[in-house]
Amino acid sequence: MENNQLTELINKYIDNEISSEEKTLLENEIRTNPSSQSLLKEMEELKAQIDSEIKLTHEIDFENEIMEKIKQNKNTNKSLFTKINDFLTGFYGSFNVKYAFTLILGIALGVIGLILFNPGNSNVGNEDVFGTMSDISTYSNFSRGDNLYIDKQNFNVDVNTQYSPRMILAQIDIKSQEQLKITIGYDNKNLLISGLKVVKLNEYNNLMTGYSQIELNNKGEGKYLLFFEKKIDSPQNLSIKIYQNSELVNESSVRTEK
Amino acid sequence: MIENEDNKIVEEVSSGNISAFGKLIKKYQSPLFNLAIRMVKDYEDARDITQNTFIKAYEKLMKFDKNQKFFSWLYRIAINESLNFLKSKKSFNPVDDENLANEDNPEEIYIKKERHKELNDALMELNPEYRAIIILKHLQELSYREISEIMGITEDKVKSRLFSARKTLNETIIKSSEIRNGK
Repeated sequence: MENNQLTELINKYIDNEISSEEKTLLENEIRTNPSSQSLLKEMEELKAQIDSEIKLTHEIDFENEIMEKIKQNKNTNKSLFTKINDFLTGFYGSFNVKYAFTLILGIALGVIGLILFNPGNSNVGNEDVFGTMSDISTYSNFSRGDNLYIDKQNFNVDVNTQYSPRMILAQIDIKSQEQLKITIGYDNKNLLISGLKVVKLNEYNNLMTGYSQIELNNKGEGKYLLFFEKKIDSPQNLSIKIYQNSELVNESSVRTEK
Repeated sequence: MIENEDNKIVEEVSSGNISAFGKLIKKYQSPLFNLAIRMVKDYEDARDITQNTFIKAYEKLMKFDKNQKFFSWLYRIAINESLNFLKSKKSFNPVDDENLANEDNPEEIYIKKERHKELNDALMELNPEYRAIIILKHLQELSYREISEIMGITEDKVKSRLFSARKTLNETIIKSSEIRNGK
């Protein structure tokens, strides 16, 4: 019997997928060929060993944790445009209604814009939100905050901050050969996340928010923008922790105002 | 029947009921975690892989072909997550299986621990794709066809890889037990 045929029959036999004709063939083979018989015995013993050892299983429950992450990702990953588009296409399928609503929405946004232009207003103003959403250097009326640059053998991380009386912007540029997890801790009594953006996205990169912490996972080149609204106007610290293979490899902090 | 149930849940989720996705997590989280922990041998990493698998599955749910089996699709994501993780990681942190500590006889504990360690070490020495096939066959008890759907290879390739994997595994176990016994 050819080697290939023998291995296929032995596989099928020990996996209980063998037909009666094939079983007869195999029985004839092992009766006449001792090496085939010993190969079958070896494989049977191995199967028994794997079956008895490998079936020790763990029961786990991550449901709430996963659902929470999914909900957070859903909110983080959707751009404003997508949210408006979803809203329009989801609830206003009809052409006329959709465009009538767009007109009303436009007027409403104009009115909101006028209110925000009012210098006496305490809300976030236009100078706080003008920029390309791809680099914090494009934002006007911000002062440069502290910069943190970590250069290691397998990765480098560059954190740049900018601030205005009402906002803090942080840009994180990463180059890493391996998967990195980075957490950015902030004081949620003083800061509120108003936006997160993954500028360079690939299958390994993601950005999530948790209680007073932002977590990002990165491999390759990544660029992330974080927007915080200040609850009080005072310098803040962002604590940066970098993990590689679940091990903390760097811990530092950056003060957002010089 | 099971596949229909899964597909019904997928439809529910696709039509906006996010919470229904919890039913799929409940159903598949333990098998996927056990698959991941056998692949990467570290509790925390396996936990991350399991969570990322579900998050990716949710994000790609709109692209899921309803003619496919949901569980094959989900397992494929988990295998890819595990293989990608292994590519990005060089060393492994061993995990002790606390289930083994339930024996009364110390000699039995020792022998079982040794055999368990031998098999696990041999499994970790296998090429990750071979390891995945062994786990899918022996732990998850899937058929050749199901494994071929998950791995995206033909049934013939499943059979030949399974046989090679078993042979390599057997040889590694024999070698390590010879070393242990001083031969």
